[in-house]
Amino acid sequence: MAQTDRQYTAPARLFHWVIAGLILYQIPLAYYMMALPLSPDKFGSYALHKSIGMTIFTVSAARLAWRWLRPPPPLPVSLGTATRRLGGLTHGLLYCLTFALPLVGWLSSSAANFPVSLFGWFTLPNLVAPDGALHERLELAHRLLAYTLFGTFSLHAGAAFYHHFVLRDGVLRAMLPFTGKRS
Amino acid sequence: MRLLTISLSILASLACTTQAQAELWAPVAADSTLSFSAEQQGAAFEGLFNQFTATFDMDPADPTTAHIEATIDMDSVDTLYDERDEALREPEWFDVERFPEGRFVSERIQKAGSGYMADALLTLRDATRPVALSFTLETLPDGRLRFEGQSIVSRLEFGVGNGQWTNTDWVGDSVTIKVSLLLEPTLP
Repeated sequence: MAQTDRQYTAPARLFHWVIAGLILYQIPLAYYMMALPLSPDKFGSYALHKSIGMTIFTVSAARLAWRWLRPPPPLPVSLGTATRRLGGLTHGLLYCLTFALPLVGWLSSSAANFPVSLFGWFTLPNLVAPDGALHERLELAHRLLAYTLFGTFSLHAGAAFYHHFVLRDGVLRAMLPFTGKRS
Repeated sequence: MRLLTISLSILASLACTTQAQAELWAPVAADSTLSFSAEQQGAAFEGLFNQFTATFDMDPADPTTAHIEATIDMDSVDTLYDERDEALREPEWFDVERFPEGRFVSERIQKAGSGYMADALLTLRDATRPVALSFTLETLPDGRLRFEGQSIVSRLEFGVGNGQWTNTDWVGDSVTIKVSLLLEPTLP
């Protein structure tokens, strides 16, 4: 095996970084597409945003299943209860958001009668009947969840650097790619 | 007595003649829909025209001799999303200010399988193009008729979605028009 007992398994690391990369792509894409005037480009950007969102949803499901099969490595014993709790809370929130954001986006698209297509391969069913007022509420919810994700994401990344550069406890390395041979 | 018999036979023959002849039929608004399905962002969505009128000059026993005309209020487009409806009314799409009405006029109707095929002229904006509408006609127990029709048209042939929207990557060219009507006799 290319991992140590202090590291996440290779699939877990792959899931993590794929989702992280896709989220980092989604945020500027969201602002870009919202700013575009009504145009084929705008439609194309929305279609891409939705397809990536549904990809995040799917990969998150696979990731959660994998986490259940292969639990994460233990945290360093040096970490206090409060830090562990804060970390657990942040991680739990991030997991929830990787499901909630795509789901609310899908609901919002459904309410606007803008069905979601996955990269043009196939169309997902509308989850709710078209309803303009419901669409506006769901769009707001999607926006608020996105802000929450951005905040939690920043906290999570900040904590990773804090562990690595201040605490130097190997927590970041547990998730880094291409570090399998190190101990 | 003789007079009565004659009167009755005249009435009966009149009734027969009327039955064999064409009469005017019109849709019952509450039980009739004009909808369409189009592709956007790689996914199909449905829309409606809430206001339209139609007349069928038709003998239900032989729809091939029918003449169908319909007028669509383009402003009544309803895709269940206000922003898209607003966009569709703009000059790039239906341009409802200059072209408030769409028009459908049948030219020839033939039997096709278990139903019929109407060759017709459809006018959207300032473009009139031939289209084919396949339909079935069913006489209901109460004597009214159920008309179910479908036609696949190219929006670009009518200039619907011009300028940048001639790009069909994110809004497909092909639009399926679906007509479901409950027809009842009407006066000319």
